[in-house]
Amino acid sequence: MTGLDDAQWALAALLHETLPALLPPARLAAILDADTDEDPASWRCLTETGVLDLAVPVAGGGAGEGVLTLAVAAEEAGYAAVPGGFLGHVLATLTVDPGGRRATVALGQVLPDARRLTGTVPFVPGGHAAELVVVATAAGLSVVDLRAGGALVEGAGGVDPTRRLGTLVLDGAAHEPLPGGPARVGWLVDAARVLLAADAHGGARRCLDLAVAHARDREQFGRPIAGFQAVRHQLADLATAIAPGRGLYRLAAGHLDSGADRAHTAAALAKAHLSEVFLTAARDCVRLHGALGYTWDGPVNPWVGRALFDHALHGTPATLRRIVADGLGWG
Amino acid sequence: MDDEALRARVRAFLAAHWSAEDRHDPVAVRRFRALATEHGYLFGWVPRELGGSGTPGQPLAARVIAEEFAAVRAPGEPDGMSVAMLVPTLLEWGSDEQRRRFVPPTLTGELTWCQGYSEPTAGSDLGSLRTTAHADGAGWEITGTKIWTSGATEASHMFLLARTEPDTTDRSGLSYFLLTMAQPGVLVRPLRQLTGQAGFAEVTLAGARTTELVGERGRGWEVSRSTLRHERSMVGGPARHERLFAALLRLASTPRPDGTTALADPLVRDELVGLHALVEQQRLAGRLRDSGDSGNLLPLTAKLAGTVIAERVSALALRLLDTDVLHGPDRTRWLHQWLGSLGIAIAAGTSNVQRDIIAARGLGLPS
Repeated sequence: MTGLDDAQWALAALLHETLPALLPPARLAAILDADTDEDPASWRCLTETGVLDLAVPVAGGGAGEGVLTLAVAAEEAGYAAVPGGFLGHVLATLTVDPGGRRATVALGQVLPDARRLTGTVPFVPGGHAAELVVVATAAGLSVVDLRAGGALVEGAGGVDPTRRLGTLVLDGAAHEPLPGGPARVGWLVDAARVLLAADAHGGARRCLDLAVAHARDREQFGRPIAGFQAVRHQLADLATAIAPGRGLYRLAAGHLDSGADRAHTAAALAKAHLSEVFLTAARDCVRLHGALGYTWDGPVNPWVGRALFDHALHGTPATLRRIVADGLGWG
Repeated sequence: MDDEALRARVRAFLAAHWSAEDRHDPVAVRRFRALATEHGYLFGWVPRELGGSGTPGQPLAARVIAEEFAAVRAPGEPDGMSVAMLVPTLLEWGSDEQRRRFVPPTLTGELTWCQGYSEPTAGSDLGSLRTTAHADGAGWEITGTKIWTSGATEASHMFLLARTEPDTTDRSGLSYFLLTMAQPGVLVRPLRQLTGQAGFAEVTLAGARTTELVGERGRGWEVSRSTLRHERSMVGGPARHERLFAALLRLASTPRPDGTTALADPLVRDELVGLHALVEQQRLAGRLRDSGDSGNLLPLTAKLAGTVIAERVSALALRLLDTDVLHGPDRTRWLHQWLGSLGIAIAAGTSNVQRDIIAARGLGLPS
């Protein structure tokens, strides 16, 4: 249930090898202050390696993979701090074949009227570059063509400059309902939670690696600070919090792929825990870098924003733990 | 065989041969274990001629078996020091004769073991220990003091480290021995723990005799490493956390005098779910390890992660007990757990020693 097949292993290894090299500290720092979170080099890599089409059905030229494979990619995207609309696009591909177009999801609000789509939906990732958006209505999921009029994504900003959020404004937009009914809305939100949990685990791993590398390089009192027991113990505690985390999102992803009832609780548990560990890791990583860590265009900042994003989008840990308690019958 | 087929076979075996009512009957438990071993469900990692089932299967299969056994409360492999720590060490380092003599009766529980490592002046710095072993032609004469030795009053035997190379003061001069407790040169003085119970002891070795050197003379440190490795995975064992968490959940669900339960308190539920995530991730971490998906860092963190769980459980339990801590019905069990979590933080390498090991070996930090 938590194990990967050979292709998934290979995907993780490939992305681990390529993505961080495409996103060196200077490039990430530049994105923090740029007008857009678009990064052509890493997007091209995701396109060429087939990551963006992983969940597209085989008939549509994709790989027909599920949430687990996407989550494996999301962990590596989190490790590398991949900017832009990866999350929204791959979530959309779980429900619709975008036919080569850029897509995203707008799940921040369920639209009450499924016939005439009107109103605003907050927290749309990668919306400014998208041509298609999957929205949630009382009747289920629907897909809206952003080029057809009656719908646009406004603004792009928020707590994570590497993944900016826009607001979808609908004014009687034409839409095409997708199969699955209202249950499919909940399923897609759960999938979003799993991908955020995987991103958080990858981000936390990167914070640990950054802090370890800094401790080895940085010399004070005539020797690397990695030699000081206080630093070593902080790093060991952080490693202990992070090392076992992968199983939580893998289990939830497997449940979503098999349609198991437990998926809802497992997804909430994974995101609650792993996003909280990521916040801790980001803060510890800042502390261990000293003033360099507290610098805007320093090496840690991209993951601070990402940790806050993973923490808050689609349910904070406190909200998600209530879902888990209810799901386990403790309510 | 795939997981589900194995699961079905194990279930059928359990349905035919095990009844949960027998779990407190030592004779029935022993008979069941022997039968389960014969069927290849227990001790697959121990060769058949040494009393195991000699079916070294995949770890995943062992996990499926363990889960099914646990589901009907059937006794699995005992997780005490004897089987979980000494047997693997003997399989790795013992002579053929030592394996034949000590492994089969240890599996059946006929021999029980305590661990002679810590001394009054050698705790975290175990390599500096001072107990000596002197070769005199007829065997070895051992002199020194071992302390905080768990289970010493009940054990039939001790495995221990002693200094065989007199000119050394560090780990390089140690050897690993097996010793019979019932002999004139061994004196056991029980020590009470914070719980008030005599869980450990001071063992004075005043010319105790043995002929059982395990591994080569002077290589005891290396031999003891494999025992400690097994001890750490034992202390960090997920089944233990799951039992502890289940008990905490029962405590939180027990109605209080005013008819309410602690579980109705949103803050208590929040902390319980947080703990549930830690327990669940340690359970899943075992699977990650089995599928080779963890590198060397994850196993090194298991003991410290277990300590974190035990300490957080104890803090919540204390809060739930409220004034019952002073004098109440549930007091003893949870007070022992609250205190015992400190024992977990100390035994088998203190948490600070664990952090040192994780930093050096798991993260590769230069000293």
